[in-house]
Amino acid sequence: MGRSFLVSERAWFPLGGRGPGAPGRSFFVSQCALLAALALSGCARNAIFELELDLPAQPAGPALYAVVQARPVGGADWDTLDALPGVPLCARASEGPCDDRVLDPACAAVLSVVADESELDVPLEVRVRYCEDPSCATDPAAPEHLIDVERPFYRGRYTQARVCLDDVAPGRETLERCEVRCREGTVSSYCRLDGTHFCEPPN
Amino acid sequence: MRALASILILSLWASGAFAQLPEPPASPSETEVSGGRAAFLEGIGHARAERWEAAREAFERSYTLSGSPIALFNLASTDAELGRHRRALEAFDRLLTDPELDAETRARAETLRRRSAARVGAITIRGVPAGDARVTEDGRLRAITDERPIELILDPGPHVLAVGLPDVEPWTWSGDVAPGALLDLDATLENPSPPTPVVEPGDDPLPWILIGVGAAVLTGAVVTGLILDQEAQLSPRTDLVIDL
Repeated sequence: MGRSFLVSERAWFPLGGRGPGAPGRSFFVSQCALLAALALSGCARNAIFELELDLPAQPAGPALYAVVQARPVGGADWDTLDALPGVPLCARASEGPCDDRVLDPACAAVLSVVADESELDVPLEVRVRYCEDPSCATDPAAPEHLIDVERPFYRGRYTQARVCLDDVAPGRETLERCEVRCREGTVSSYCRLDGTHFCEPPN
Repeated sequence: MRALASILILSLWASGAFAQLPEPPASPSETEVSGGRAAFLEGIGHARAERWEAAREAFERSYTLSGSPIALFNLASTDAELGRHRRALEAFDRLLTDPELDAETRARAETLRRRSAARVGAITIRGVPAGDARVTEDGRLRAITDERPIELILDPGPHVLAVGLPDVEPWTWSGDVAPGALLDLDATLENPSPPTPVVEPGDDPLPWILIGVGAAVLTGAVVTGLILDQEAQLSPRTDLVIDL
């Protein structure tokens, strides 16, 4: 199962650059320069997890904003972390299965969580609060939805997951390792039969 | 796996349940039909083994020979499975124009089409002067168009776009297209650089050129090396960013 995906994955995300072939009449200096460039260049050490949040419809009452924060599990206290600017909820409710929805930019937030190499192995915790204040600074009792992501990051890879929040209500859910995708396509799991993730080399 | 199920459930065609063939081709011969069916079965076999590239090739061959909408459905599904959602969209759109498509296949195609539509990025390129613009995507000619603005659908991932018009420097853009992204790009096309100065007879510029090239290569390589490490790091593709 995994092998065919690995091949298509490599075809879609070709690794590394292809340098020009023939050096021609290259000088010693250009050889040295090339070596210097190669020695100084590096590979991606960070990773980015793109979380698609389909936000709930604005309920009756005052206008609400979705305010999103993220931290490694066990990280700093929420109150000490910066929050993204509040995203206003829209009047229209999304419909249909979560994976089939076409995200309306006005009713969704797609955020990138960037981790450096020291944070790649830790689970992630995302908090979405629904506040009247776009900064959520004055609404400590705002309902919040917590999303635990078991394994969001893989070195040098973009990964994605989608969460559909259908109600302005407290809640908590877990995105398991195999629900985080690192390739495009329509599959029911992002792990191989041997349990390895598509972002990892197969056993 | 849903895609595999989508493909396998339509293997009825192989048993003759969907023997009527629409365009194209207009009037396939028996040999072509037979070849199309064989290619279809071959594609099913590859799909069962999850050899998607081989499956895609077989379904494409089947459709080319037979014009079967089911072959077209499987071709589109396989493209989606391979992450080639733009191609999948084209195939699904073509399939859905078939008035004879059965309801179940149509419903499945519409569902899969919606998924692919949610994955592609929509690019709008504004500011291109009037005329036949040559648009390339990742080094391949995508279109020659006089429509403005230029609108493109791209699969998610890294892309290089170029727009050229006669007698002007081409405009290029490179970047990552996130799934569902809506990008509005402003193209600026400028006149070409001035003509090369004339070298006087007797002045041999070669040594100076070589020295200049060597120095430029050295400087460029060092600078490139310094910035490559930074550039090698992934960059966010969305506006909302949280740096842990």
